[in-house]
Amino acid sequence: MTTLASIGRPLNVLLVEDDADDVELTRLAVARATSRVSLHVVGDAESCLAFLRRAAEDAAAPPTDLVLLDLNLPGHGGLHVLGAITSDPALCQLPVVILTTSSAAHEILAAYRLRCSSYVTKPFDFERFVAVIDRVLDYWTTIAALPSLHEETPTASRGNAR
Amino acid sequence: MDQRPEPYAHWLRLVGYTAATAGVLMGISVLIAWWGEIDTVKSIMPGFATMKPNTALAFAAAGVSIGAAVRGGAFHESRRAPSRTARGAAAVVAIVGGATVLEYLAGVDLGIDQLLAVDDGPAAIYPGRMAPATAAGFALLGAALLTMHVRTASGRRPTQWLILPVAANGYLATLGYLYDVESLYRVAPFGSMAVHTALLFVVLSVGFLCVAPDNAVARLLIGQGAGSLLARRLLPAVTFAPPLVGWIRLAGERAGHYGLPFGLALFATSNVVIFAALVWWTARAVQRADDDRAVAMRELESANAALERSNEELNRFAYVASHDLVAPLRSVHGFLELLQTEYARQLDERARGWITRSMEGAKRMQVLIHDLLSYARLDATGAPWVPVPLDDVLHEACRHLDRSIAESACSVTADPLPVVLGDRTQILQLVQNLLANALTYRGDAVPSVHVSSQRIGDECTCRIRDNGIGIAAEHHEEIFQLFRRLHGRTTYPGTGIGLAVCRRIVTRHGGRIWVESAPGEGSTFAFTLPASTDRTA
Repeated sequence: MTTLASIGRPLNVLLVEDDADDVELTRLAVARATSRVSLHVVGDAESCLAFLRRAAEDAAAPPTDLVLLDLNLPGHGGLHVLGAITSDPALCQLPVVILTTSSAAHEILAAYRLRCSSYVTKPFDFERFVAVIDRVLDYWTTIAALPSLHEETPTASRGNAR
Repeated sequence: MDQRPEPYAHWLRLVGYTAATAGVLMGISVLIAWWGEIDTVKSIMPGFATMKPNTALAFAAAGVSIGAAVRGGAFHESRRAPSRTARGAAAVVAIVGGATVLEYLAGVDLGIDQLLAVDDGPAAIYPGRMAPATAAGFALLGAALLTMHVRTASGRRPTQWLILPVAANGYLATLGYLYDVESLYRVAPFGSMAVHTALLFVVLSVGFLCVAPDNAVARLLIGQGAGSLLARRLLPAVTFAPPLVGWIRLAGERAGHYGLPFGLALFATSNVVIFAALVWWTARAVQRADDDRAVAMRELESANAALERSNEELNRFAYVASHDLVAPLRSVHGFLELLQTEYARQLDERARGWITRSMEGAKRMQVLIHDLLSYARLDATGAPWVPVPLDDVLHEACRHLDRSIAESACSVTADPLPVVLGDRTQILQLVQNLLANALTYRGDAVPSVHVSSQRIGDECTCRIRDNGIGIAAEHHEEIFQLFRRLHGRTTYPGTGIGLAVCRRIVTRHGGRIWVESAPGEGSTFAFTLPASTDRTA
């Protein structure tokens, strides 16, 4: 089976997070992780969807392997972004991992009902947060088969889908 | 001293006493009249039937019985049997009435008719013997007085209906005198019921109904609903107005002032006027009560809506707090942690100490927010009640606390515990909080905790006893208050929310929680929860 680890390309991660402190902490945690990661950050729902759709249309752009999505976003919340991704035929194959401080039952259920790939609550301690991030990234790098590695080249019709 | 939930209840008491007094006074007066030969008291009007000595005796006894029953509290605790006086007097009534009925039915003379006084009135078949209707009335009245506390399994009081024929009998005979219709008060060829006998039967029947406030009639009369209002206003008028109007009509007709058709018209018109006025008066009162109720209903609905809104707001607040308060705190803690690890070499001992303190502060605040939220959410997150085996709950709580139990080498023991009814998550939290407290506030001895339980009726009382530091009596109440702590943070950790959560959980389940403790003697936390009925023993 082809995994990222086997072809030697870094994991392209899109972090959707509006809080600058959280972005910084997540960057630092990702830097400490064992996996090779190329991290791109967007701060709101609109730029997230715009980024993903642009990448889907442009064959030359590096594919996004994984989305780390915070639920507490300005304007439309993270659940809205998740819904938009999973209901878009061009984006619905993307693995989306919810990364948030909330552990409210209704949000966990809502996120899985919208078919998120997994729901991860950020630990309070940075040390444990690093450990969690490391394991999540390691899983998607060395264990999971990524849809981005098995995609046919995008056709014009798919590009115009939305 | 008396608890009177119904404002009209004391009227019943008053009427009961009045009827009883009337019976006693009239009975004694008539007896004296027999011995003193006072004819007007015996028969009221010359030529009318006399009230017989036995009748007078029975009325006096009935009056005593009703008076004693009202006084003896049969009024308030209607399940209780009437007092000995009440029952003794009632027995006299029943025996006098029953024996006389027997005399009539069996055609025997028991020699009781002239026991008290000799009847020297106009010749009669049975001198001194009361009328058959009177005798039957006493037999029923006596039986009703003797058995008024008897209830069926469903709480009904069948014997109260014995009083109905008594009242009807007296009412009919009174009308007979009022309208001068002999057949209504006399069963030929026997003697007549005297006019005051007839009236007293009506009065005592009313008095009887006042003894037991939970009989159908009395309950309706003293209630506060629209039906009771209706009954209070209409029942007396319905009972007394038509006979009085009829009497006026009859008197006028007999005096020759007008003929039958005019009399009938007068009768009909008077009744219509009286009842139309009464209905109008009553209907307005009922309407007003209805309007008040509608207003109260609207107020209740809006209060309910406000409550729902505030509950929703609390939920929203709880969510916002859980995310928006914790997120920046997490950043503070995270960067401090980074400072501590990345720059440890550049910082001196003092700076590292300050960083450690700041991190502890952030951590404490996170715990505080978490605990406060779990307290605030207790009401909003209520799950449906299910049978919860306390054994399982205790095991699970121990599993969650196994690290602190192992660290303190604490021994946790328990009796077989019952199944209670409630929200499982909350009951687990309750037990776990109390157990955690027992581990936290331990003394110098090796900690040991014992859980026991006792079921009383529909309630289980659970006790968690420890051998910890104990609590002085003056703090037994305040420890259940939010943020209330008896010790500094450095001595014993905690946010001061745990016991407040416990109290709220127990209160939500309709139970109580308290502590039995003294300093140095350990503490026993006790709480009650509803017992589950489907215990598979």
